[in-house]
Amino acid sequence: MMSRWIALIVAALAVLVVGISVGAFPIPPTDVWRALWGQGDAATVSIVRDLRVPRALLAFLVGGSLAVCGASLQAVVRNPLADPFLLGLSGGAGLGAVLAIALHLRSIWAIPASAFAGALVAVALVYRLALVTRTVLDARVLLLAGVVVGAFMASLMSAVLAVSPAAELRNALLWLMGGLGGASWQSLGVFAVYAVIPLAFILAAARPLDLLSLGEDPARFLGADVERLKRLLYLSASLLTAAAVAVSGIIGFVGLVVPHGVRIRWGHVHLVLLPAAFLAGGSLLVVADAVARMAFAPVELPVGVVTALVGVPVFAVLIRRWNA
Amino acid sequence: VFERTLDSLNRIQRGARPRVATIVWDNPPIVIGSGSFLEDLITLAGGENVFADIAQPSSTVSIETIAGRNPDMLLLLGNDTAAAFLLSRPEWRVVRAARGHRFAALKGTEFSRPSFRAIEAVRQLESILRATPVP
Repeated sequence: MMSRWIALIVAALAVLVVGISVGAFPIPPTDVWRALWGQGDAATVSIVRDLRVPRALLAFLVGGSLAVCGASLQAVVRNPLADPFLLGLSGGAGLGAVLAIALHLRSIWAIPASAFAGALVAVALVYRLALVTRTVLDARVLLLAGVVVGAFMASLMSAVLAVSPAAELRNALLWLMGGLGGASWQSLGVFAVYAVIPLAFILAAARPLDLLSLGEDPARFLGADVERLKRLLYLSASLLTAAAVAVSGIIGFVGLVVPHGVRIRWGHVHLVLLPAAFLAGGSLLVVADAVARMAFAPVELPVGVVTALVGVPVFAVLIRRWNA
Repeated sequence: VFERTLDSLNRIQRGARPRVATIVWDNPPIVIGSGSFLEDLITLAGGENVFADIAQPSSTVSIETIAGRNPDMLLLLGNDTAAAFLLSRPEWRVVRAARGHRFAALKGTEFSRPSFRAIEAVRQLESILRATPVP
């Protein structure tokens, strides 16, 4: 068991090293290492320290957060298709981003902030719809409400796209497809500080999550405060995902597939699953971002495209082994 | 008249051509590639597009790529204050031209669509590029 953890941590560190070493501007590995400590050519130092390091760290943190959100939501709604963006968030974020452009809000934070606001509106709507009575948050209704609210917001977004003349709307859609091109120490810092609280809530709920994945009634009989747990987890995961959207757009697939991949190899105990999913999700996104930067350099691919291209084959292999 | 003026502009060629990156969007950074209207304007004005190897009118790149190409001048679509604010951000200061405040905002519609006012656009670009120090 211990050796698995060591392997995962070593893999995560190796992936971070690769993420920092490769880039559109070729820098020899020894120079990258020296630049990390502020030695060498000033241009190299600033590329490594101000661009690559925050970008790799942000990719890791976002990927890990999405995987943890996916793992916990899959347990809350007891549906393997649950994904951080399934519950209406992507529609809300998209609507927010497109509205920011259509209303000509032009500042460097305009699109991220309004995508975040749009995602929060979606979270609030889904939450309100799923509270069927004042006290019960119905997991099935939560899932349906997520799909419905997401579809509603996506339609509104399409309507804005259809009637708005702004030529920049294409850029908003590109941003929305996910990318870490806007990473800076500032966005990394904001996201890291923000992510600590929801991540801590989710990790602290690892034991009750095990009970919850047995079903709500068994969990209740075994002493879990099911209603409070569901709300806390839904809100933590959604608020964390909304923040991930603000710094990196919509990066699909990580939150859906990483938890399943980890379950296949490591089992269903959440105290193991959640941290392992964090490390695996973070590593996957760092790799995907490196591929996105390098595959068609100097042109950069949206990282969401790559997460699916890298992750689907890996996942297919895992499923085959699991059944064999 | 248009052709003649264009010809006269063509004749004012100078020795060193400033290398230019044209940034149309900041996040994700989108630049002008080859075969675009803006690249034609830049070439006519005596500049050289550092992203001429990208076979698309516009494309997403990383700030690192822009820094690596090390343009002499950054042209930004939009207004002055937005451009100044953008380039004061730490991640953009990696680009040497941004550090050295060598940027210009392209404000008017003469830069966004081909028309007779293209000549006006070329004139403006030419005066920007003439003031650009070429190493």
